[in-house]
Amino acid sequence: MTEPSSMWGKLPVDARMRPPISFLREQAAALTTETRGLLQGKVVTMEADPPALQAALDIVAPSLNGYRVRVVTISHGLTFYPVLVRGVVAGQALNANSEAMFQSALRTMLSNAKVHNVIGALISQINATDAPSERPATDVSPERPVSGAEG
Amino acid sequence: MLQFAFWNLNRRPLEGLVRALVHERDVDVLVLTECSVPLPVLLTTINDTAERTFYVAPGQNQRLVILTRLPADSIIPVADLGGLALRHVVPPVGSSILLAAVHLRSKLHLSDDDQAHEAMFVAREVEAAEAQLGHTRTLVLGDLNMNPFEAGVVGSSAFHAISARAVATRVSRTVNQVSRPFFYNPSWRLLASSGGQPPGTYYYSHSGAVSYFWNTFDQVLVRPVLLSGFGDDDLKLVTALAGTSLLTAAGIPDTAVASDHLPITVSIDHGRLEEAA
Repeated sequence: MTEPSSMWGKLPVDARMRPPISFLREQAAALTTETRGLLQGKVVTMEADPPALQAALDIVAPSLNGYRVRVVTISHGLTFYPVLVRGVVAGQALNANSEAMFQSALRTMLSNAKVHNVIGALISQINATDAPSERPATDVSPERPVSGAEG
Repeated sequence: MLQFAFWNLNRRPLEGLVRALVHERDVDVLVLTECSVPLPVLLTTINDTAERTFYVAPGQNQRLVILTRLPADSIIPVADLGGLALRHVVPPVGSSILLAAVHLRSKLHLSDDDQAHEAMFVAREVEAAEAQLGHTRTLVLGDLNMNPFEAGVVGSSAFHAISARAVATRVSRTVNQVSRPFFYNPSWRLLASSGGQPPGTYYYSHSGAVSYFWNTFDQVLVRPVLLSGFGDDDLKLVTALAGTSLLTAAGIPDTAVASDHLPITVSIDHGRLEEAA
C-alpha cells in the first residue's frame, strides 16, 4: 500500500507573521521606558468570540489613582490581518491588510499631536502633584481620599 | 441632591440653550457629546451672571465634555476609554457616585450585533471601575445609540439593564453560572407618549419595514444601591428651554432651533444613600 500523497499543497510552515497585539505590547513597554515610569502602557485584551481578538492599548498614570486613557484599539479574526485599528484619541480608524500597513497606522496614531497632548497633560499633572501649591484647580487629585469607598 | 444632565448637541452652536439647561434645571454635573462649541465660549456663556461657576471636570476624553459646578476636586477622573468617560463624583457631603458617561457608536457604523458586543466591553469597564473604587453606586448616563429593549442594553453579558425596578433590587442574577449585576433602566418610561411628552429622545424616520420613528437612545442606568435615592420621576425629558420649544409644530426635535436629540436630566438624592448605607 502506498503512502497517501499530501493534498495540502505547500504549507506556510515557516510563517513568521507577528500578531498585531505583539506590537501593542511593544509600544506599551516603550511608553513606560520613555516616560521613565511616570506613565505606563498597558495592553488590555477584551473578550471576543475565539479566535477573534479585540485588544486596546491604554496609558495608565499610576500616581493619578491609576487614571487610564485609551489610545488605540485593535480587532481582528483568526488570520491577524486585516486588522481594524482605531485611534481612540486621534479619532482615526483604518483596516490594515498587512503587518507593514498596521505598523504604519500604529505609528501615525501614536505620534498624533492629540496623543502627545494627552501625554504632556498627564505628565504635567503628575509633576504638579509633587508641588501641591502649584496645582491648578481643575487638576486631578490623587491625594484626595476616596470617600464612601466602603461599598 | 445631585442633578445630572446629558445632551447630544449634534454639533450645533447651542451654548445659549445649554446655559438655560443648567440654570433652569439646577444642574450640578453636565455631560455633553457632539459638542462643537469651543469650551471658552461654552463656559463664558454658561457662567455669565451665574452664582456658581461651572468648569471643565478634569479628564482627557475627546468625545464627551463634562462640566460641573461642584467644588474643585469633586470629580476625579478614573478612565477615558473613547466613548466611555468614568468619573468618581465626590460631593462635599453625602455618598460618592461613579459616573459612567457614554456615547456609544452609532447604528450608522455598527450592526445591532456589533453594538451589543461593544456594550459588553463597556459594561466590563464599568464593573472594573466599580471594583477599583470599592462600591457600586454607579450611574450610566449618555447616548447609548441603542433603545432600552435592545440586547446591548438588556443582555446579561452587556449592561443587564432592565425595566423592572423590583427585579433590579435583587442586585444580580446568575446566568450560565456567572453572576451578572443588574442596572435599573428607568428610561423605559420615556418610550411611550405621556403627559404630552414625545415618546423618546431622538426621532429618525426611514422607509424600511421596521421603523420605530422615535428612539430612546439617551438613557440613564442606575445600580440598585442607588435606588434609595432615586425615584422614577427623577428622570426627566427636557422639551423646552428658555421659553423655546425644542420640538417642531409636528412634535419632533427641531434641528433648526436645537439638536436632533432631546436632553435628559436625572437627580440622585445622595444624602439618602448615605442614610441607607
